[in-house]
Amino acid sequence: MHPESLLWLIPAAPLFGFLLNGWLVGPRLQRIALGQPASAGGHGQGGHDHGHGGHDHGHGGHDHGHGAHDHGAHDHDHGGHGGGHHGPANVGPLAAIGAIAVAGPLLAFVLSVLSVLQVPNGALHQILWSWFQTGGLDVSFGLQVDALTGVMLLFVTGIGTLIHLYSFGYMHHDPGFYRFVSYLNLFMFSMLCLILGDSLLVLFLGWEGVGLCSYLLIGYWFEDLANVDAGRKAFVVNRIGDFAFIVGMFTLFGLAGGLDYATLEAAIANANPASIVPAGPFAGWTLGAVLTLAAGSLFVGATGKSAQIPLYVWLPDAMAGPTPVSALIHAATMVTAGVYLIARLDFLFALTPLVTQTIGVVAACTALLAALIAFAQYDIKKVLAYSTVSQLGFMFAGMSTTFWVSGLFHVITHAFFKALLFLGAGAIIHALDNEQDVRKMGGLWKDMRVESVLFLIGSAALAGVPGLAGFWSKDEVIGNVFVLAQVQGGSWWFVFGVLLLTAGLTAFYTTRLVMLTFFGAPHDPHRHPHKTHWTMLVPLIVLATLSVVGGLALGSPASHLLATFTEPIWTVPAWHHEIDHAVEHSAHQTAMALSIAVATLGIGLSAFLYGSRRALLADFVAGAGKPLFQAASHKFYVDELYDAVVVRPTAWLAQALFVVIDRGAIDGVLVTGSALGASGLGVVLRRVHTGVLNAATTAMALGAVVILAYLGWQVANG
Amino acid sequence: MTPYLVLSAAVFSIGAFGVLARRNLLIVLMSLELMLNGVNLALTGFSRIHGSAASGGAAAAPHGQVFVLMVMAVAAAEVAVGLALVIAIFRTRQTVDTADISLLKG
Amino acid sequence: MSPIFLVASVITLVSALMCVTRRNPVYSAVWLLVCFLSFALHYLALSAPFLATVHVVVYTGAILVLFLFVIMLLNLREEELGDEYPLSRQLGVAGLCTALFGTLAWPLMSDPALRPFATVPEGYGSVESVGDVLFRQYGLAFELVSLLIVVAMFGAMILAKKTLWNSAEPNRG
Repeated sequence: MHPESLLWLIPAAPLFGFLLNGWLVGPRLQRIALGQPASAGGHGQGGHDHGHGGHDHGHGGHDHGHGAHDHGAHDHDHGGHGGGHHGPANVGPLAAIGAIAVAGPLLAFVLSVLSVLQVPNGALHQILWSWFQTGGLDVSFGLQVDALTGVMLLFVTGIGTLIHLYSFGYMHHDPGFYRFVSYLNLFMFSMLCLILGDSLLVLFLGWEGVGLCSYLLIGYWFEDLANVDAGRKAFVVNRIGDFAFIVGMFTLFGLAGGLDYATLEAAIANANPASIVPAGPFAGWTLGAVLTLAAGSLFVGATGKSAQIPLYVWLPDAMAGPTPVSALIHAATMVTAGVYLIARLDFLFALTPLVTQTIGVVAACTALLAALIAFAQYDIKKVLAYSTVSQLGFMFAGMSTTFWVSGLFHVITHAFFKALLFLGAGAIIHALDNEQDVRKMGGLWKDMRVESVLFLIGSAALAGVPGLAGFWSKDEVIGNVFVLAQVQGGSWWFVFGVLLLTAGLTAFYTTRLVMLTFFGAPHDPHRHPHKTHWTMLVPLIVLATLSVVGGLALGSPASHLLATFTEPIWTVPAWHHEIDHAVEHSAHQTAMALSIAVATLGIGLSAFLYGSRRALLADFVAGAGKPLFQAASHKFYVDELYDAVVVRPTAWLAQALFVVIDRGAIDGVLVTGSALGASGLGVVLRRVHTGVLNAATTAMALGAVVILAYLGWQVANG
Repeated sequence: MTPYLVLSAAVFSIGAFGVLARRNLLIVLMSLELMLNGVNLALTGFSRIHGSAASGGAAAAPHGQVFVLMVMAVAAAEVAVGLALVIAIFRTRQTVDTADISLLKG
Repeated sequence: MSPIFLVASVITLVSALMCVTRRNPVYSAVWLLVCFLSFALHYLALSAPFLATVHVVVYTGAILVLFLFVIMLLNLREEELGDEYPLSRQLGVAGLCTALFGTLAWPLMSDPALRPFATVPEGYGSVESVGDVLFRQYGLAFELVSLLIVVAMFGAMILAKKTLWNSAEPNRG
C-alpha cells in the first residue's frame, strides 16, 4: 500500500472520530456515563445533572455549575470546570469516548511518520476529487506532502495526540465531554486539511475550519456569556483577517490563473519583479506591485489567524476556553497557520522585500507589546497567552528575514515548550480547583514536585536557557535578523534591537511567573492540591523531553536535521547567495552571545526581585511605576481603542441604517405606504358608486357620445 | 336612404333623452321602447337597400326584416320583465321614482 | 323624399317628443301609441307589409296594452307622481342627446357610400318571403327566441307575485 494513496486517511481519521464522538455514539455513551437513560430525548451536555451515583459531597459550598464562578480575577475567562473531585458514576463509557478521540490523531500521526519517511524520495500528491469548476478556475481537492508539510504534520499530529490524551484527564468530569473531544477532532481534521492541501483553497478551507473550531471550543462552557463573547470576538477578528486573505487569493488568481501551489510557483517563482504584466486584470502593472499587493493582503490575513498587530486582541480572550484548547489551538497549531502560509508561499515573499520588511517591523512591535503586557498579568493563562503572541512575533520575524528555516524552527520548538507550559498550567489549575490567579498560588515547588519540574523545564526553554529547545531557535532568529541588519541596514536594526530587548523581557516575565507560582510562601497553607492523572502527566513528560532535546536535534551545531530535510523546497531571494559566509558566521556568534547575556540578565534580575525583594517591587508598582503597570495590566487599552474607533461607529451605522432604510424606507414608505395608497385610492373611487341609476346611464351615454365622436372623426378624416 | 337613417338617429336620441331626463320609471321604460323602435327603422331601411336581386344574391330576401322580428320579440320579453320589476318595486318601496331607488349605493 | 315619408316623419318626431315630455304616464303612453302607428306607416313605405302588421300587433296591441295595465295597476294619483329633474338638468341632458344625434347623423350625412333604394321584386317583404328566410336560415334563432320568451314569461310571473312559493304565509297570489 503506497502511502500516497492513503493520504486522505490522515485528515479522515480525526474526522471519523468527530462523527463517532459527536453524533453516532458519543451522546449515548455520555448519557450512560452520567447515569441517564441511554436514549433520552434531550442532550445531557450542558445540563446541571451530574452523575448521581449517590455521592454525598462533604466539601462545603462548591459550585459545580458552569457559569457562576467569580474568583475575583480580572475577567471571567474561566467558567471553570477543569476539575471536579468526585468521579462520575461510570468511567467506562468516558474511557471509550476518550479512546475514540485519541485514536484518530494517533492514526494520523502514524501515517504522517510513514509519509515523512517517503518524502526524501519525492513529494507525495493525491488528488481526491474535482471540487468545482467555474469561470476559468478549475479546483480539485488534493493533498500533498513535501518536506514542509511533513514537518508540520509530525508535530501537529504528535502534539495533537498528546493533548487529546491529556484532555481525558482534564475534562472527563465535564458532562459535555463527548462534545469537547469531538470538537477537538474536528479541529484536527481542519488543521490537517490546512497543512496537507495542495492549493490555497484547500488551505483556506482548513483555515476557516480551525477558526470555527476555535470559536466552538473557546465558547465551550457556553452558559457563561463571557465565554461566548470571547469566542465571538475570536471569530469576528479572524474574519477581518480572512477578508484580506481572500483579497490576496483574488490577486494571485488574477495573476496566475489558478490557486494550486504548482500553478502559483510556476507563475511567480524567480520571476522578475520589474517586468510588466501583459494581460488579465493587472495588465500594465509591474509584477512587483501585484506581488506586493498579494503578499501584503495575505500577511494581513495571517495577522488575524496568528495574532499579530493589529488583530491579536482575540488571543488573550481565548483563554476562556478549557486549557487543552489553549494548548492545542492557541499555542501549538492554529496560530502557526499564518507562519505556515508564509513558508508555503516562500517564492512569493522572496520577491517582495517591502512586505517582508514590514512583516519584520510589525512582528517586532508585536513581540515587544505582548511582552510588556505579560509583565502585569496575574492570571497564569493570560501570561502564557501574551507570551504566545510575543513568540509568534519572533516566528514572523524569523520568516521576514527570508531565512525560512529559522521561522519554522521556532514554530516547532515553541509548540513543544508552549504546549508543555499550558498543559502544566492546566495541571496546576486542575489541582487547585480551578484557581488561575498566581497571587493565590505560591510555594507549589514543595507540594507538586513533578509538575513543578516539568513546568520549569518549559519555562527555561521559553526564557532561552542555553541548550534547551527555545534557546536554539530564538537565537537563530535573532542571528538572522542581525545578519540582515548588517547586510541591508535600515529598519532591520530596529527589529534586531527590539527582538533582543524582548528576549530579555521574556526571560524576565517567565521567571516572574515561575517565582510567583512555585516559590515563596503558599497563599493558602492548608490547601491540598489534587494528584494529577496519568493521562495528564504522560504528555507533560513527553513534551518536556522534546523541549530538552528537540532543539539540539533539529537545529544546533550538533545536528542540522531540520535545515537539511527541508532544504530542497525553499525558494530564497537572489541576494542570499551574495552574503559573505564569514560575516554570517560571526554575526550568529555575536547574536548568540548577546542572547545569552540578556537571558541571564532577565532571569537573574527577576529571580532576585521576586525572590527576596518583593516588598520593593510592590512599592515600585504602587508608586513610580504605577502608570506603566496600570497601562500594561489593562493591555494598553487597545481593546477600548478598537471599541471606540471601530465597533461603536459600526454599531451606530447599523442602527442608523436600520431605522432609516429598513424601518423608514422599506417598511414605512414601501410597505405601509403602498397599502395606504391603495386604500386611499379606494376611498376616493368608492364615491362613484352612488347607487343612483340615472348617474350610471348618463355616464354611459356620455361615454358613448365620446366614442362615437372619435369614430366619426376617424371616418371623416378617412 | 339617408333620411331614414337620420330619422332613426333622431328617434334614438329622443328616446335617450327620455331615459336620462325623466324620473318616472314607467316613462323611462317607454323611452327605452322608443330607442328600440328607432333601431328597427334603421334595420328595415338597410333591408330595403340590400334586399334586391341586383345586390348580388340569388333571390332578394328580407334578412333585415327578420332581424327586426327578433328585436321585436326581445323587446316584448324585456318589457314584460321590466314591468314586472316595476310592480315589484312599487310593492316594496311604494314609489316609481328612480332617484329613490338607490340600494346599490356604496 | 316622398310625401308619405315626410308626413310620417313629422308625426313620428312630434309624437316622440310629446311622449318623453309628458308628466302623466297615461298621456305618454297615448303619444307612444301614435308614434308606433307612424312607424307602421314607415314600414309600409319600406316594402315591409308583414313587418308593419306585426309591429302594430306586438307593439301597440301587446306592449302598449301591458304598459297601460301596469299604469292603471299602480293607480297613481296626480299628487303621487313625484317631481321631475330641474329644468337645468333636463336642458343639459337635451344637449347631450343632441350631441349624440350629431355624432350619429354627421357621418351618415357626409358618407357618399350609402346607396339609394333599388327596385325590389314583387312580394318582397310579404309573409312568404319573410317566413321563407326566417324558417330556413334563421331557424335556430327563431327557436332560441321562443325560449327567451318563455323564460321572460316565467321571470315576469315570479317577479310580480305577491308572495313567493316557500314563504310561511299562505299564498294569496
